[in-house]
Amino acid sequence: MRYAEFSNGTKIIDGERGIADLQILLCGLGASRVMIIGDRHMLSEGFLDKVKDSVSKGGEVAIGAVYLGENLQDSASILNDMYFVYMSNGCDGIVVCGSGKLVDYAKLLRLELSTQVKDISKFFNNSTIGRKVIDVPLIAIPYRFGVGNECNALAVYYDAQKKLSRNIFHELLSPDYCIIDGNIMSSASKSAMAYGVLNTLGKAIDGFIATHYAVVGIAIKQVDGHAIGKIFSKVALTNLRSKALDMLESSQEEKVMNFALESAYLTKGLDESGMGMVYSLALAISDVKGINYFECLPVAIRASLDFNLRVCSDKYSQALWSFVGWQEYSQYPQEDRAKGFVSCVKDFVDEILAKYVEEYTPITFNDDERQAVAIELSYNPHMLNNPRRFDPIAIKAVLK
Amino acid sequence: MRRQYNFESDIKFMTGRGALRNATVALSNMGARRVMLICDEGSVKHGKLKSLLRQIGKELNIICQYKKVLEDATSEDCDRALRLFKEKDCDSIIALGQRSAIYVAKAVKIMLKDGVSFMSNYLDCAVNNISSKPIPLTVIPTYLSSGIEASNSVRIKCEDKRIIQLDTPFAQTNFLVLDPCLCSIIGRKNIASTGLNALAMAIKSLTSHSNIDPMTKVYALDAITLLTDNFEQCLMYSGIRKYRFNVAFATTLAGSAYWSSPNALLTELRDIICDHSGADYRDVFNILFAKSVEKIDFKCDFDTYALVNLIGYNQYVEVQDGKNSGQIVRESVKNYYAKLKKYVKYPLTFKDLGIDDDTLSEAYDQFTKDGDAEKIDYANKLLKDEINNG
Repeated sequence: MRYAEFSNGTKIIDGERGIADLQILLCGLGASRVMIIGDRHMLSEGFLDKVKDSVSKGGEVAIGAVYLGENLQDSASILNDMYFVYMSNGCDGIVVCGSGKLVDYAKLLRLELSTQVKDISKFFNNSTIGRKVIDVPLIAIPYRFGVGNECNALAVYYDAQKKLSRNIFHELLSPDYCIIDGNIMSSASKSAMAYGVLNTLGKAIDGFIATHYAVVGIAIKQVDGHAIGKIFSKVALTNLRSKALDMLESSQEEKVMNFALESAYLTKGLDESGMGMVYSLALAISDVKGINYFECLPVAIRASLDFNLRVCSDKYSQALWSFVGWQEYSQYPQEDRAKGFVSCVKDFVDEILAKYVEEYTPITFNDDERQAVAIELSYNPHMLNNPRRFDPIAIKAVLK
Repeated sequence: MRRQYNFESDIKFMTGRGALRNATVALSNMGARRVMLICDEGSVKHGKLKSLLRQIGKELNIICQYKKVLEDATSEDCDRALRLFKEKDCDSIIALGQRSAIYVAKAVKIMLKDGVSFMSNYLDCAVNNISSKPIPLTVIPTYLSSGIEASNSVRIKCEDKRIIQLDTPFAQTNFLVLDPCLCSIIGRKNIASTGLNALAMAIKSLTSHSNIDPMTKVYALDAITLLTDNFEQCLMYSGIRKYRFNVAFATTLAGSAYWSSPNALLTELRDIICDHSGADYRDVFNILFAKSVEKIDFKCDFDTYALVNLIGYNQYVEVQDGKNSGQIVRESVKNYYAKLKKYVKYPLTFKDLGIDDDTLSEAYDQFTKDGDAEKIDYANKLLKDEINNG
């Protein structure tokens, strides 16, 4: 009966209606002059023009500015630029077309504008803002699935001073709408889709073993595992293997769309129940090695499974039921089920990497890098969201 | 086939110990400074109102209370509550109690949005689709609820017994607060009705459509898990608050799943039978559900074992080769109902509820009066046997 809360903040819209109705959605949210944030991929594929046309179609909503995000490493300068463009063009709403860091920055811009606090470091810790909140409509149109940041209340900000990524939780970070468009989604490369599948898998595993429930707005609060969060993991893991392989094999727009929609709903739910070690570890490795977050996922999934194996045998056993189905599950002897889950997941990750990811180079660590990963993890509140808590020696041991 | 999900509910669930206190903070953040409280007479009589005010009375500025709502929500209640809201210049609503109080609160929210002064105006016109600044609505269900708090639907009776039925996202609850301190002791029969009702809603929402969206699936499965873990214990040890709380939580989750999945026919039939007979809506729903499980094909898209994989670890689910998911669900429901019979005698047929054949015939006629073939087929499957046997 411990306290828990759950909300379903962002509304997810199927692209068939979504992009065409963008103007209606913006009117409903009270926006009249929007800033469109996009990237080179969306521009070169022509999707940004489609969004621009849709926004300005009826004449009731004007486009105040179009911002093309490049060199997204320096969070502070990108946010400053965006803030300047938004304010100098008198905008009152944001549409972000893209994925990954760009969406995070759009969300952080909204947080700055809504709370009238320009210094993002004020949100690193659990703090409340006394000022009146200004309503800034935000619509996200992602082009890769599995990330989940297009519909959750979390954003990652790179703290240049400490040289690490900070997680910021705030209710205002949830976009109002997330539009999933089949055309846009299927324009992503096969490797990107494969990494999206791995991200969904990582979040489902995190959700399964989460010990706390993250309360949005309060970095992380010690609350019993929320029932809703657990079921999200169960639904996400059920048939994930077959659906993902089928989708990657055919690459049909329809199948990509179905998978992306389900993934958006489920990652949203999983993020609400608190992200855990896979996410934190991938983020830390990405910062230390200076590579893309997605490329760190296979290592993070394997290391996290090994790290928690001893203390999570019951949970892994339950996860095996969902992941492989009851028939295959019943073939495993009871004592081997946890290990069975770990090996099934590792096999699945290997299969995805071998078949669908181009040029994957395995990541190796030296002692300094292991130490740096452990230090970065100590700053990440999500790291505590697993049964073994934060154990730097054990973490270094699993990073082979 | 291309899927298109439409899950529009964005209710914030606040559950567990301290939920009421946390709700006051959330309401303050939403800008609630002058709050109106709407509750039913039952909640006043059983001390729920007192207990609520003890918890949040000092932290929230409750300007006025409308506590005259009876078992049925009437248009008069809505008009009076609206007048009170305007007189006292309130800016948010809290609804406490059973479904009638929740209906009135939702109706007031819609009327405020549309600038309408009388509920009866909605007999002739629909809810305006233009949105304006919404009034924050907090719902605090007491007893074991009906799941209506998570729905977008409003059902109000007019003086001339006509019914105003609205289903609009503008009636949505913003905060759903479930605090164990308001889950008081109730009779076994009531627990059985509510728990079975929740189970029925959860299974119905899982099996009513071939494209169940993941959120509905999550809520329904969560409700089923909570019920299978706590329902029997709740019946056996109704004095233990933990079990009552978990069943109440399951009910709200099942309600969220049910009201966001297409079950209009079953809901309409239930409401018509209740209007004609005055029987408890939960009992009527449970009987209709049991009949529909036997006679109406499931439209679920689960492959043979996916449903079992999802429900998993359940003592009522018998996993056997050669059975499809429909058969497994049917047998599981039968097992469950049979097991519960040991603890409590709950109504199994309309006759147990005191509903005679004439009443059923009237309900049948009203349900099928517009000649819709789908409705006639549905009513034939669920009611015709009972009427003919009588």
